[in-house]
Amino acid sequence: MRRLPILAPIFALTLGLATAAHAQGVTDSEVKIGGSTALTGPGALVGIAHDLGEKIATSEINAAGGINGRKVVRVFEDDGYVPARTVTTVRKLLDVDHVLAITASSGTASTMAALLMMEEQGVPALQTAAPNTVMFSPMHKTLFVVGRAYGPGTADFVKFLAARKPGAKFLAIVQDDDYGDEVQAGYEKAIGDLKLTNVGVLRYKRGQKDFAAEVLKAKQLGATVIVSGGIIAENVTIAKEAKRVGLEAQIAMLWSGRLPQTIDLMGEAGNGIIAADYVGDFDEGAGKALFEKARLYLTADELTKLNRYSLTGYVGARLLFDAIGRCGREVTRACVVAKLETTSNLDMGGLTSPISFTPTSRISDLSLRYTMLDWSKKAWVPIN
Amino acid sequence: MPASLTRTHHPSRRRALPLLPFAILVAIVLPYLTNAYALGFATTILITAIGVVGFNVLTGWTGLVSLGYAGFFAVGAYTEGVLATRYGWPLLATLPAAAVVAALVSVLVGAPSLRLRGLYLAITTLAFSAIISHVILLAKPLTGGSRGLSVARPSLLGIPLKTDAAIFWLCAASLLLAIWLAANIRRSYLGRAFFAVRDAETAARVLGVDVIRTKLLAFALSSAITGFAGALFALNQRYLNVENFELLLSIEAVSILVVGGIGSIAGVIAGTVFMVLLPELARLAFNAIGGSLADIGGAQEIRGVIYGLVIILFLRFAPDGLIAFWTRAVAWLRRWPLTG
Repeated sequence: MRRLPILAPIFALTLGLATAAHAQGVTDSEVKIGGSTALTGPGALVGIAHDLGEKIATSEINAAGGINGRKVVRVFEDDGYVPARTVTTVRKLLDVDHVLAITASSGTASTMAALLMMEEQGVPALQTAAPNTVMFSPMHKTLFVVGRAYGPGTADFVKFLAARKPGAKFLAIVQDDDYGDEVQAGYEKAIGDLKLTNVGVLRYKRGQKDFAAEVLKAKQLGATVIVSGGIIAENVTIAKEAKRVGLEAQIAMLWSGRLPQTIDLMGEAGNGIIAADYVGDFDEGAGKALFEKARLYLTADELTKLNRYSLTGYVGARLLFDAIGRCGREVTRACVVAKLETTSNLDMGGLTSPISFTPTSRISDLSLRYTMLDWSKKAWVPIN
Repeated sequence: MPASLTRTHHPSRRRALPLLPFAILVAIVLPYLTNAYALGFATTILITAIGVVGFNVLTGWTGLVSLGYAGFFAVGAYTEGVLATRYGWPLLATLPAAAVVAALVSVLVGAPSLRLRGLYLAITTLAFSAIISHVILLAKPLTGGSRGLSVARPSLLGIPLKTDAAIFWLCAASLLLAIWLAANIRRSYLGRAFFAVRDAETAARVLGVDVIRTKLLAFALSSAITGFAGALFALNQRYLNVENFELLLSIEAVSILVVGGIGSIAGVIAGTVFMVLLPELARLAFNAIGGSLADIGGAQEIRGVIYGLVIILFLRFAPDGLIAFWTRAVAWLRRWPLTG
């Protein structure tokens, strides 16, 4: 009992001394930025890749002399994809590390958990991995979302599929959460707009592992195009189950599962799957050039961990560096927010379509590109 | 009422009372001495301690092994969030409401669980936590479902609780209240009935203890305090999502009891401080060593390994928890220099 009063001031003073450093993460020689994402656990596939993408962008700009002469220093925290931990890690980034901006937070729940704290301190924050509507509608002053919102993205995707497969019978399998709601809304909008044939929308419980019932139902209903609204493991399971029961439908999925790792997981069952994404790949075009550059900054082991989330991480970092650069030598959080919201057609060299925000919009809706999984090449091949 | 269950004595109160002014002084000045990050840790310690003080009533004192801690914590948190945010209730109403709702829910769970003990009760309460998660997801208009719920910080007697320091002081006052309440209950007839049910249920029945009523009261009281802690969690976090209330939260509560010393209020406090600070201290240690270990120190999984290792070590070498070290040290000092 007596230990608590003794420990508390010691702990407080120890950590309190750390606050004496510079405010807002800017000194004459460096700019400090921070991120919090899952570096361990099931979400690490995403978090580590994102971290590496930022690492490439940071190494690249530092090699070129930094931003207006200031080196970029990154502090990255592991929140294990647990929102309560994100609150702690972001609090550390803001109050101990005094970062200028937050470049990443795991997912929607994690971002929302830390959002009030970031808003109150006017911290510029980016979300490039989970473009969920809740993060930009209603608009949050300091949070900037890069990607294609799930709802409109799904609508675009269904229209693309309808053009490829005239007369198709569509079916959607969606998760019973806000992500699933958005996918379903976009799906139904496209179905309504184009008067397509919808044979069903099947909702599954988040965390579900077995999709035999959903796939058999799709077969029974005669679906010829299945919009698979899973994240990663769900899409893999649906593809394998469809192969097992001999369902000859075109399977289509959004970007979250479009990873090199899922190609191996799906095996031959993944052959021919179509995916939509707002970033490219590391094995073609601008992505290939970036991969060559990454060899300079990453270890061989790190190179194997790159995926689409590395590209979103890289793009987000580049966007932030551009805004900081436009602030000149007077870099403040308010200035970076002001520059971010006036970003107009920022060219990402073909990794994504140009990025833009306005003072009244915090989503940079990017164009989608479509790829098909070619099992023989073990690659996602562009089809548009 | 059996005489053996009504006798009271206050040695722990006599020991603790001199510390009270010091504890209050520390609580008052701490927000002025430290930054928000450290204050956040201190607040987390306070909230966790309150919750586990409640959990200790059920598992430590009454011997009912529960894995429903996360569920009751979530009920309190969402009651606070919904009433404060959706209905604009004042804090003096939302905090008691969170405790009452958690207590009522616990009676619903407790009633059919009365004949269960040990693993069976643990599984039943675990199932309850899973049900609560689904209810939160389904009650979307109230809870926001999987999208989550931003929680408004209400005012207390007209004073807005906008700052982290205000929340810290509220939590500190609440912990003192929870300790006072638990310590008094422990010394009361009810507290002795809890211990009697835990140690010898049949003998307690023979002595006139209403076992069913006692168990239900243990459930209700424990959950009320845990629900209250959940409400404070909601105020501190300001955003609720079902992912905050997973099984690990219940495991942590059990771990704190084991590490601190099952049944002891002081043990709960010691265990909470130890378990909440352990990952952070591990991170600082890894960072101090530097190199690639600094990266490992930031990883949640390595922290989990340390966490698990400490629990195993305590179970193997110090099953009575941290509080037993303290008790032995005090006894040794009292006898010193007569002891070797």
